[in-house]
Amino acid sequence: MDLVPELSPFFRGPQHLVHKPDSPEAFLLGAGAPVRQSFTYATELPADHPLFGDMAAPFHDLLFPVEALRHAALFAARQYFRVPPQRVTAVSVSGTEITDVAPWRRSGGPARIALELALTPVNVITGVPRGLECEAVVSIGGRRCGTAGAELVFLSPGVHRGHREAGRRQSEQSLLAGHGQIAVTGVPAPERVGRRSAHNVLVGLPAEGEDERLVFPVDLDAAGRVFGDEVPAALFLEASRQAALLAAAELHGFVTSHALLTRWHGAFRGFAEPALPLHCAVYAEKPGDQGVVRDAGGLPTARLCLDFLQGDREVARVSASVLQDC
Amino acid sequence: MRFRVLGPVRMAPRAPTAAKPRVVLATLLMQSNSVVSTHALIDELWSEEPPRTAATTLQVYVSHLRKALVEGVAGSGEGAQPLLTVPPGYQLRVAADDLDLLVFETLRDEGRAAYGRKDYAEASRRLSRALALWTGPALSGIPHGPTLQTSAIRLDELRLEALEQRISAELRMGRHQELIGELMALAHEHPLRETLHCHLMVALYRSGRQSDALHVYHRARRGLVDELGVEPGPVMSRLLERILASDASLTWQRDTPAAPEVLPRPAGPVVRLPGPVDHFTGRTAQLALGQRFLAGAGPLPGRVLALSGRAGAGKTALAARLAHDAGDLFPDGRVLLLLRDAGGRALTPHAALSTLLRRLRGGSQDAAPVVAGEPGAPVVAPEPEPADLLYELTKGRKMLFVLDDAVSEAQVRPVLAALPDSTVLLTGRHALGALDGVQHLVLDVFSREEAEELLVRCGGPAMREDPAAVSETARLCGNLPLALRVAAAGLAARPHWSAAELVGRLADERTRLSSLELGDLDVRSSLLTAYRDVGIQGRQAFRLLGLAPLPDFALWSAAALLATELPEAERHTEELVRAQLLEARSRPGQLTTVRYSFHPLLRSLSLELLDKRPVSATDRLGRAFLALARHADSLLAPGRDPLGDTLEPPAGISPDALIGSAPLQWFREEAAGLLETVRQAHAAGLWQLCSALASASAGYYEAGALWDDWELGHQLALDAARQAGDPHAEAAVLRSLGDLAWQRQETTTAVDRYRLAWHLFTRCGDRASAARCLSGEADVMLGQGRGARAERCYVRALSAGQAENDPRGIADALRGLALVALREGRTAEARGRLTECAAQARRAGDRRWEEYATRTLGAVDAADAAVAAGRGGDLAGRPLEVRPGVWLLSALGPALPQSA
Repeated sequence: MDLVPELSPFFRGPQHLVHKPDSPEAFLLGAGAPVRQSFTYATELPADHPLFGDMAAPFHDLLFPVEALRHAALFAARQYFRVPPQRVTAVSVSGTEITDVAPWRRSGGPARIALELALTPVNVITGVPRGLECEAVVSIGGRRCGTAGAELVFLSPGVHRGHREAGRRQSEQSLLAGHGQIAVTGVPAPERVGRRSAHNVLVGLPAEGEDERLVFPVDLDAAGRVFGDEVPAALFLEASRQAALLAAAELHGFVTSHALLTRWHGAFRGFAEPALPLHCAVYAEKPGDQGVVRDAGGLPTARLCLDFLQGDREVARVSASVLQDC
Repeated sequence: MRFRVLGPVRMAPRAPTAAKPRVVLATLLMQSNSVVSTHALIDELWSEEPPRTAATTLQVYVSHLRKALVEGVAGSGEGAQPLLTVPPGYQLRVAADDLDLLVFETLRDEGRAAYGRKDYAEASRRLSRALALWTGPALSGIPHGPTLQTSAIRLDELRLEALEQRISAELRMGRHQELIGELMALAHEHPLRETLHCHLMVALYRSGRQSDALHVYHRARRGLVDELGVEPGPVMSRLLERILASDASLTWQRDTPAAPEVLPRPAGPVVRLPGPVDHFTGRTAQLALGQRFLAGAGPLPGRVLALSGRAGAGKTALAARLAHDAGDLFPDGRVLLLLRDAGGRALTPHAALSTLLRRLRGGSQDAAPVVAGEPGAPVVAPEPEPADLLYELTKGRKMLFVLDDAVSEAQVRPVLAALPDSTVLLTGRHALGALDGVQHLVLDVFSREEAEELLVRCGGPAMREDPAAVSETARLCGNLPLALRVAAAGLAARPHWSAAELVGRLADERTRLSSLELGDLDVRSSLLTAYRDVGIQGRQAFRLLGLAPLPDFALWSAAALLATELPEAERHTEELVRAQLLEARSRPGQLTTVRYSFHPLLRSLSLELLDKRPVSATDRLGRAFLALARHADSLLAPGRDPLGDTLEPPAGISPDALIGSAPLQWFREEAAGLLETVRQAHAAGLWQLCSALASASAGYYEAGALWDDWELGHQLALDAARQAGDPHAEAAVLRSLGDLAWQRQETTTAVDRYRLAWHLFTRCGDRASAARCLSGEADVMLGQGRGARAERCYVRALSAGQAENDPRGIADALRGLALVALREGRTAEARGRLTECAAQARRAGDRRWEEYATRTLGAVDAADAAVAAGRGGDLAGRPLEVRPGVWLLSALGPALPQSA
């Protein structure tokens, strides 16, 4: 009951997280050793959530399991791995993939999601991990349909602060030198980025960059309204999704109302600053192959790379796939 | 030789020129040293119409003959005349070596005697010399009276008999190819002589000319039918059948005289190996080890390398590959010998030695000899001391022998002893650990990578293009090389099939083996060889143990299935392990240190051989599982299972000894088998057992959140309870399914199940269990934030639990009331409830719940202290551990920043 994170009003639906004991002491005492431990998470997918429920296409939001994973892992880190609350938890790598599209289609009624979680502590010092590798198998309606993963690091406040300041200085200097100043030419209609509400549109219209790249400005003010004052990993997933959908439409003629982000993998190079301009350059994953492959059913998938930069400092590199579902 | 009758009648130095005196001579020679009467001579000369002067004329002929007989003979006085007058006729005295007929008869007798003592070379020599005396048709060149006519026929018959015996001897000597021309001429010359046709058929068959042999039969038959109106005799007909059946015993095997002979050594290397295996795959480490061994560079000295492993593991392929690659190391020869006959029976050591000997002598056939003096009649001719002959043949030579599919130490020990200077690769399912000085290499099935590589290399484009099917085919074949090869070849041979279709055919384990047949490649036959090698009890155990749950099982499961005690069960399982029909894996650190399992294809075979699943075996296994699961459950969660008292456990199962104080570990090790047994009990219509098994395992499923297995087993159990018309069992299963739905956050379903279970328990009069359903429903309401309604439910549950004096139910309700109080900020009340909850859990003997209540109480205290110190907010919005290990998170926490 103690040592748990403060809760935000981000998602208030009831959720269960079950610790799966693999030892007598875990079974009897609820104790957690700094070794790989398993959990199961369950809840009902939100249909009317201002963000997770705001989908233009008839799909459940891929963002939800990533956030659920993050939330459950953070709770477990403190409850079962004894990570002190003063440590700043950050994400170094995160990813998710849809392995079976059908359960992700909204059916009209309530849908339940479950994550089978495996959390492996890393860099254990005096019994407390400095990081956590998180893997999850995602099921919707009892059917396995995706994966999610993340690598969390638990930083001391001083290290976090120093790292962040160094990144901020680099970005500010390069911005002053004229790098990464992207003019905002307009905001896309929410449907073009997979949302229904303009409130949730986080990217601007793209400009043409070098090497056949589309460069999207990320609206951090809008992101702040959605995610809060910081720049969380979830923002990159959401901005990636919006930029990727728009890029798939621009580059490959995909119809956004039937397009779905099916794979997302992000590696974070530094902390993004909410007060500095952020932009995203999108390009085909393999230059020359037009960036589109077809699955066994003949449906096209666009494979894209997305680089997030503040000034000339890369803060995240993302690989993503967009499926034209029909 | 002075006198000759085996051809034109002749006499040295000069025979009478006139025919009649020569007839007298011939007649006297045919009865040499015997008195031939005058009447007989007259009859021979003139038959039934002698002249009136016959006697006088006969005397004249005798006179002429006497003159001729003494011509040129030194000392031709009275005593030199061999033709004597001896009443009632004449007697011609002839020395044994002066008449070709007597010499012939002597040689023929000697030849027959040699044949009789199986000295066929000597028989051939004697008979050949006898036959060489013949210069034409017997008694030719003179007219034949009745005596000479009969004699001529008899002599020709004697010649043919001798000829047939000589041919028989030479067939025994393996000269079938050289004899074909002679036999063809003889068969043509004597078209009705069945023996010659039989010899010709055998010679042709042994020379690999089976169709010509059949043609000979049909031509001979036609001749017999046309000329005599009769069918061939039984010997010839039987011979035809044996040729048509490719009777192995018809093939040639050398017979040798009793006395050892000096064998000529083969001039060049003897190489008798099967062709190399196409697309030989994998076994890199084993090949390297084998090559080092053959080169004498292995880690340990030795001349025998034993490759052991299950049927179909590729032992022969590996040994053959090693032998093929080792030509430089063994310049004097490399020979593979299969130590089983065509019917799969183990060769005796003697047969193995004899066959090996023939291989080295260059013989092309391996089976027992057939042809004897009586044509076509089988004669077994054991080879005297083949071990000595082998020893002589291989002594001091660099040779490699592959002894394939050895059965026992006793089978191969004499062979190894006969090859002291040779290197031997020994293959077999058994490790033959009792052999001295043998290096052992055990072959398991392929690794997954090796299996998939083989499938891709051998399966053609359809396989290459479907990696998922490759992986699944490998799994269904259990990575067994033979099965993989058959599966791949089957697909390659059927280009209209897809790899997915092959997977579909292999998916059903009851018909899988039928999908693994292709020509003479048959996985089932290979596996059956191992099965047939064990005794009757072992076979029965093999069949029954096919019912053991996947993926593996403990010895007590085997004892239950076999309806026997543990030691007896272990005897059977170990026999099957030795026969490579069952696998035993050591599990150090586990509760059950040895677990048994079937290779997937052997399990398929076991189920094939078991005509139908005996319900009694399933019942025994289920009861054993139930007794153990209940014991383990009672240690994990005392008093949890409302079906805890039904069904008697089987005799001989000791839960204390098998589980000890590690119920969680027992469940973890046996969970898969437990679920499989629930399935089997359901399939067998053992309704009560099915629902009791599921109910006994519910506590483990709940603690581990094993949702899929929980749902699967309990849905079967629910059906079983309904099939049995057992509302109490139905209620127990439904309440557990309610717990499952609650964990899954399927709130509506959870409430429905709890309510139905409550009704059924109430109807059965089980108020304590019904009360626990109320607490379950209240848990749902608590999660939904309906604290007041939840509290009312908990109060009802508490009241009922107290009325029934059910400490577990009381603890459960108190827990709920404490959580409601916490949510509503009534921490003092929560403390009281939790304290009492811990006491009731202790009373119920449930340490887990006691610890849960205690640590929750501690968390309340800690949170209160934090609030008092201004370091934390209220408890209302924080995650709650609503049941042990189950957390209710009512909101997602703050979003995380990304990191470097």
